[in-house]
Amino acid sequence: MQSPDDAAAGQPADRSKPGSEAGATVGASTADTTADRAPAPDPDRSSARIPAQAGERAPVDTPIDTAVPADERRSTAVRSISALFAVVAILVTLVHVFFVFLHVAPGNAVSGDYRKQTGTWIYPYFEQNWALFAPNPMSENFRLQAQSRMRNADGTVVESGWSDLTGDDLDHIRGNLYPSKADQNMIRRAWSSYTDAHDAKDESAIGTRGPLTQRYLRRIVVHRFQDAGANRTLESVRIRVATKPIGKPDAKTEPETSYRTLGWWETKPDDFR
Amino acid sequence: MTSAEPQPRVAASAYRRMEDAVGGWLVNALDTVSTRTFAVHQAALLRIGYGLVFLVGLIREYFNRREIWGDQSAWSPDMARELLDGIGGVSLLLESNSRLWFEGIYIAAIVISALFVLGWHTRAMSILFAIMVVSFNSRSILMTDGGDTVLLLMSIYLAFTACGRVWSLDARRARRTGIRPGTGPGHEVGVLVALIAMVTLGTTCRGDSWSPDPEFSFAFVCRWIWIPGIAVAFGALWRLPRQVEQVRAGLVTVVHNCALFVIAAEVCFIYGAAGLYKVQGSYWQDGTAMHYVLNLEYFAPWPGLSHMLGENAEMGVLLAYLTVFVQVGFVFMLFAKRVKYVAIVILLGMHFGIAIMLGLPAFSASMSVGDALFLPTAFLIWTRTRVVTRLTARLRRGPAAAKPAPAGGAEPPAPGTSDGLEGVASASGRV
Repeated sequence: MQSPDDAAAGQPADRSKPGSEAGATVGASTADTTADRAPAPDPDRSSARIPAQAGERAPVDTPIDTAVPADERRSTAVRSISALFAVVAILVTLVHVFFVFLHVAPGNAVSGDYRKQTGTWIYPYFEQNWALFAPNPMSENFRLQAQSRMRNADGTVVESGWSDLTGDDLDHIRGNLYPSKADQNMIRRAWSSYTDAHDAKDESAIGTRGPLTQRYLRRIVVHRFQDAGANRTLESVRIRVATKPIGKPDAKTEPETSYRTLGWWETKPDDFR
Repeated sequence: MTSAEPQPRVAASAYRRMEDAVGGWLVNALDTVSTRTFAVHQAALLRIGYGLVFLVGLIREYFNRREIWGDQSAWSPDMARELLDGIGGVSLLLESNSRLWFEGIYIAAIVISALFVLGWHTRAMSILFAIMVVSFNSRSILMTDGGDTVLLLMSIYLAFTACGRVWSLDARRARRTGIRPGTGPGHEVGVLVALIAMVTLGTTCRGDSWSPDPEFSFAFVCRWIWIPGIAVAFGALWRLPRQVEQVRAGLVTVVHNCALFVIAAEVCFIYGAAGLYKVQGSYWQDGTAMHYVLNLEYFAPWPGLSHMLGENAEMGVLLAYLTVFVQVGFVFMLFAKRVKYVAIVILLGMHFGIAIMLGLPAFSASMSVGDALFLPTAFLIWTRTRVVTRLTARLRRGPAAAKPAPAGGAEPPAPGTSDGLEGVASASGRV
């Protein structure tokens, strides 16, 4: 695979005679005699090598030389094209940083004006939100609880009591140095995406994500219940969310728990996975 | 001659000198950004760090993988596709519903992350790594948290950097063989192999069957081929004429420098935005925020410890204010060397606390790795040397204690052995 050319490129010696390299490419460029004006290599400024402080381990900590050493002479043509690329790269960088800034900063007069352009540039890969425990951290804990209706083989329907699904997850999180996403993020984010897409009063969908988030929530619950019935079928599930405020630091009384109970949701065959 | 010149000419020459100076500065700056590869050690550290974060995450979730990203996920492939269609997202995991495809991609993601950490054909691996991170994120967006977002952004940015120039198998190979990377055929063969493997797999499993499906293969190739295509173009499959090679190297360098700038800006944005949002919150203003944070059940792996800390008002106020000050001030502190290190130390401490107390080790690790970008090269080298020396000293002592014979052995494999990964380094005596 290795051409003799490659082997030659590996010799440190060839760095001192870039002319011979360029000679091989006569056709590629109009001979450029001003190449000599390329700035002389300054060993201190060349990041390609690390000077003394690396000590005797220098070779390991010294970055490898690439095919084109940083201090190799470059013709004016090459430098011009490189400079052009550099300008383009810098402009793209600035545009990107600008849009990320608009996207990330708390809403302001300018970000409102450029919302559409920002969205086009940012989504889907650069979407981000750094309101971490902010502006205020949540001041309440919620627990998602669920009950089921099972149909027995003889046709009778059994309604279960409430199971504390969040409680099960919390049991896994407690005492765990690296909690699983399945415990920490699944119900938490499913519920918050549901509340974002539904009216708290009558559970009607707001926007387009309503059905999707409801289906997700239903499937999470079905997934937890589906193994429970051997000779039974899971007909429908119901969710309620128990919310308990975190008291003020100096609070004397325990805050009251409030419940938001949703309607019965019939299971669909595709829910079982 | 100056005295004889009329007035306007003097002005013109002063202007000319200024113009030359500005032009010269500009030319030098553009030359520098396209020849000088900045912060290679920091880039390598980010590669190792983010690679490990993803790798450890995949291994940690191995037994939950089907529930989070696979066939048992409540977030079914169809739902994921419905959401992604709206925002134009893609995911390799959604290319097929087959269980085999999923398991294959999962193993591939583990292998790719490991190779990325080791720096084996780094550029190719960095692109595949970014594809994997994007794929897992997009597959189950509602399973992600801040840590995954940091990882996603950084994996994309890292694909634009030359993060394998040091502390990588690439560097080791270059030192051993004396062949510089970036030339000749065969260097980015990894990309091609990966591409062929991907397409072959893609053609074979569609739905739940193993029968080839040309229509699917075609759509698959159309959707993904441009990524390896660019990688191959960059990697240069054949030796280019010298001047074209120089232009390519210049482009690689300037893209690397820009990507590192974007990473640095991203870290500043994260802290800046997090801080600016917090100053708007009343709990952060009155210093009770920590009380609420430490009482959140989802973020309390050690409830007893959290309650103890959360009840301490003095500690709470101190931590809340410190958090906001350091986050808002981070970008400014970077401009003052000594203050910068204080800020980084405080932030690392904070991330350590978040990792343990809030049960968010992946998020903390991702943020800490980002902070490491601002550490000085000499410090990174010094740390690496120390760590490696300690480790190898321990490793050597181990076998030596077990069997005393080779202790005096005059010729254990040369100085290079001391640095595990890097291998027989100095033998080739480069630079």
